[in-house]
Amino acid sequence: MIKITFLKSKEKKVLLNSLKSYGIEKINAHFLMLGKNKIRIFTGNLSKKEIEKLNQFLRIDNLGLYLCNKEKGIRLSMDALHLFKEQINQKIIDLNQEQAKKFLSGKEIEIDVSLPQDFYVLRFGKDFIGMGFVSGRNVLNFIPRGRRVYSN
Amino acid sequence: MEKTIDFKKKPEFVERIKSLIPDYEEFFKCFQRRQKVFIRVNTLKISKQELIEKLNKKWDILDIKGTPAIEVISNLKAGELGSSLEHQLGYFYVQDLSSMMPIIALNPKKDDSFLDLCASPGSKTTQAAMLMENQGVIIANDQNFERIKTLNANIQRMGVTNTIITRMDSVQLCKSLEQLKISFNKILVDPSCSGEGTIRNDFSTFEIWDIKRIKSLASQQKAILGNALRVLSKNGEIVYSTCTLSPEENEEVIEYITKKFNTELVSFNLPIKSRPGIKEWEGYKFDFDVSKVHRIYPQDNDSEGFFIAKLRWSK
Repeated sequence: MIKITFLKSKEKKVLLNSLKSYGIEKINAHFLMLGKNKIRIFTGNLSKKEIEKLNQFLRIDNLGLYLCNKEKGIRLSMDALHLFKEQINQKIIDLNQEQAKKFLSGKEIEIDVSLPQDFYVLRFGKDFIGMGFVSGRNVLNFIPRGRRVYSN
Repeated sequence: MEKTIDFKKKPEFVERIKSLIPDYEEFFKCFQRRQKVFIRVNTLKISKQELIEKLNKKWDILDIKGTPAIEVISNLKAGELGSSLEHQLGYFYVQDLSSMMPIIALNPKKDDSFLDLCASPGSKTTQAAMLMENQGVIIANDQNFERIKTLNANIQRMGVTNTIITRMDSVQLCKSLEQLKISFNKILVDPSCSGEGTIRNDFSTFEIWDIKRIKSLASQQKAILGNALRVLSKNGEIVYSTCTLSPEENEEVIEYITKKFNTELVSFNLPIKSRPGIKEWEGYKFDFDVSKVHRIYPQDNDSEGFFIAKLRWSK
């Protein structure tokens, strides 16, 4: 049986508050964790009790979508960014083609202005392409190996 | 040098195709030309129009109207589609046109409960999630550990949030769900098959083709489909599909199920060219309305070959 931990209402409140800093206000989903720091969301129309019951009798491998890592602040996954693309309106860094190409290939990039240390959403044109941790003018890269783009 | 299939290696395969397909010459001819490349837009992340605008800047493409498919006409380098930005962002899934048809036939909607019994690599699961707009609920199952990894990765990349992935033997899963009194109004059974419809793209399928394997797969397919009925709700619908042409894995399975269980075939239309099921095979006349099942031959749409049938409980 997989260990499914649903976020407690206090933890959920903290998470939702952090997401507000990006402009994300509305999320209608279950928040849960299958591992230590990785939060997932599940929008299937099952109650917490129903999910727990299924987990007792079925061999569940995974559920929902990996939302974010909460190790050092909230780092949303590339796919979670797309779920909230209509809502995200803050802490966005727009990249030029050269920066985007470098970032998508998994490398750290440098931006033109120095920003307060935090996680930021990176955008190229209309596309949200990931999140980076900004320290001064440096942007640390978290794009997983399997999702990198080496030529485009 | 381009690889070609040496059909002489398997004369039994050639003979069967000749008996099965009236225009079998066209079937063999299509192996001499490049198979069309199709992708499926992921409307969970982008509209078809927006994707077309993006892709038009890099490739020659064609919108296959009335379907979620786009044909990529440009000659692509190996791996070019999969390594593109739009693929990595989950804007599309590389999926053959005919492989999109089982979900078009099943047509899952927002509030449906959908069971995908043999789900990996996830093309059809993610297509269903797209039609369901990440609502309702999906249970996507596969037994194989390696295949589950691919399923997980595709579900994440496509932005699917309404799915529970299980790793179980599909017959056992259905028994467990029945014990829990859980039923589904949409079920897809797209089990392992001999893959005759895909050999144009995957020569290894031809290498392992043999009649004994077909018979063995057919009994597994009957068991999976029969057990899937345990969890089909009263007004639910179940789609059975394979990417093979062999009657043993298609019409024979449907005949077995409709005779053994109180089920009936449901008529449906597809947006691409398809043909009715065959009436007889090796001297045996099938005892059901074969006009209600669909055969898609590779030469008809320059796609993979497929078989699709839809069933429900008899009224």
